[in-house]
Amino acid sequence: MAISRRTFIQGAGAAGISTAVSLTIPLAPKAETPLPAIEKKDEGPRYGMFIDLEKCVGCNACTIACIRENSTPRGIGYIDVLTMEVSRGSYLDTYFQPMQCMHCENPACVPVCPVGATYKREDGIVVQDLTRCIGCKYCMQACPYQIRHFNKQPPFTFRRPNPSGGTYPGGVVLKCTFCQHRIDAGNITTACTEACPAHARYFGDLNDPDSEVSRMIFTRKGVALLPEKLTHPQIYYGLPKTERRV
Amino acid sequence: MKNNQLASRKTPLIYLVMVILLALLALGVFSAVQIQLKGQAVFASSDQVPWNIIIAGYVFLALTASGLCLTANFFELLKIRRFQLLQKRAHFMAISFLVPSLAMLAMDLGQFSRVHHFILHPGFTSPLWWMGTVYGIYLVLLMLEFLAIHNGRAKMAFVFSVITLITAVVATSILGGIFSVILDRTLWFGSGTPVWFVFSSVISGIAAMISVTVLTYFLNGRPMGEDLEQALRELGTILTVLLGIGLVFTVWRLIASVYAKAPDAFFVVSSPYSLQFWVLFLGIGIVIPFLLLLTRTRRKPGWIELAGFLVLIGMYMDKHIFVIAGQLRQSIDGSIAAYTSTPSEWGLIAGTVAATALIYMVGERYLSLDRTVVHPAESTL
Repeated sequence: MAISRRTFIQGAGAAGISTAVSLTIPLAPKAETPLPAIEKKDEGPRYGMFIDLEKCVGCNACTIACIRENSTPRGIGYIDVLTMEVSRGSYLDTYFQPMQCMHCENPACVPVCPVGATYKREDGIVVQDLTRCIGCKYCMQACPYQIRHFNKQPPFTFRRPNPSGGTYPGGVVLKCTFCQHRIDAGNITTACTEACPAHARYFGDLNDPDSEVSRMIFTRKGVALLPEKLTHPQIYYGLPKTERRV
Repeated sequence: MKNNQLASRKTPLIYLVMVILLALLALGVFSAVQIQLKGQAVFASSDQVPWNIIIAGYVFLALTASGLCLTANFFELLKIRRFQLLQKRAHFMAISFLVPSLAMLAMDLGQFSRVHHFILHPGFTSPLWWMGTVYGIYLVLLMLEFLAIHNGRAKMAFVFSVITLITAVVATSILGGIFSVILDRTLWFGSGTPVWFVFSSVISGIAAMISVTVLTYFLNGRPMGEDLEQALRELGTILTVLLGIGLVFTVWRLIASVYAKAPDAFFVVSSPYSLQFWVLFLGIGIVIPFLLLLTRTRRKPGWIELAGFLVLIGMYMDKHIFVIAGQLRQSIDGSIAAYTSTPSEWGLIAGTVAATALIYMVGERYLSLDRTVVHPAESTL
């Protein structure tokens, strides 16, 4: 059967338009998704945090609250408040950036542990089993954020009580637990969030689009640190808006 | 008669060496006890630089042990009679290198009393778990092979040599794999690391084989014999070639890192570590022994021995720079961490090296390490 040029062009045009329409339909709902940061991953809660660097004044209240809440061994705090410097021509811009375990969706520390002492809970919190850790420090090497801490006390030290149960043994790796003992008791907040006088911290369920933390990540366009490391951290930062000249 | 006189003159020297080694061993034991009593506060490692020179020392000793076995078994498979003279000694040296180095690594663990979790809760995705497991299997195989050689069971020794050769390559590459999977450390990450570890293990193994054999015969005051001297000269030639290839490999790794502007590479070439890299690794560890082996060593065992020792120094420095300089840059803010080793760390390493030497000396005294397994009508050269 002979097909004229006109018929061929009409047919090809109709096929092209229908293909484009069919491709657009499944894409349409995705376009409404505000940010991949708060995209719902599963049915249960997925805990995360937003830290507004615009509000953070670097007072270290979070650091103190964390140490007091978790009764951490001497010399160890799960939060480090870094002073960041950005060069802007002839002057420096500074801001404070609190750092703690990012409770990554794809944590680099979990697969490298030779005894499975570090693992990810169903609610997204990455925890450390202090009764199993052998203190090889491989997880500290793997973590690109370098916010794991080694307890240098002797291996047979078991003095300080751990709010998550038991005591802190010496010679193991410690890290932020997102106050798992509070969450397990139904108190969905962390000591650092409560203590922040500038209300720079927001903690909650990232799977809930109406939670305060999800809304803050959306409105303040939260960013994750070191995205190139492919760890998908669950702590997002709101970048400082104003310039502070030094 | 002349040999007996020479041997009797060397006896006080051996006793002096043993006293020094026992003193170093005591220092190592003291450091180990200190670690258990005071914790890792006696180490210079920190949250920014979690691994210290003990890891560098372990990597060096474990690679040398693998290299010794790997080389000896390779020659065993080729059935070259001259090199079979070194087979038993090489295997015992590998055992005497590996056992103290694993003990030293255990001392670097925060909780070494929990190593049973390796069996109870295996982390199959962790290269560290695979390294521990494969090195454990490798040690058992090494001991079985040595027993077979010691008891003169040629066929069994041959079978074990094939299995142990494969295990040595696997164990060495997994040791490199521990570092190569860390995406955050640009000096470590990549497939080149395990390859370099296998290659440098062969270099360290041959260097250790040459230098320890010559030193043993010197201290015992015994003549080596024409065959053994010839084997050592040929090993020297092989080492020359390997050093040349090692030099090319190192240069290309550096060029690739500099092209990619990998920040850690700059610590190696232009920082306080550059002195260690250019002088101790590249100069003393590769170039000088390369030139020594190319020129005057063909005939004199003393020069081959010196070249072997220099290569061992260079190979340790390579691991030292690799482990320590690889951790200094902090990704999050680009800052540079500091690390200065402590006497306890050096004490533990000195004790481990002393234990290695003492185990070897006991073996040399009681296990006739210069005997070979008889391969009637099998040897090709």
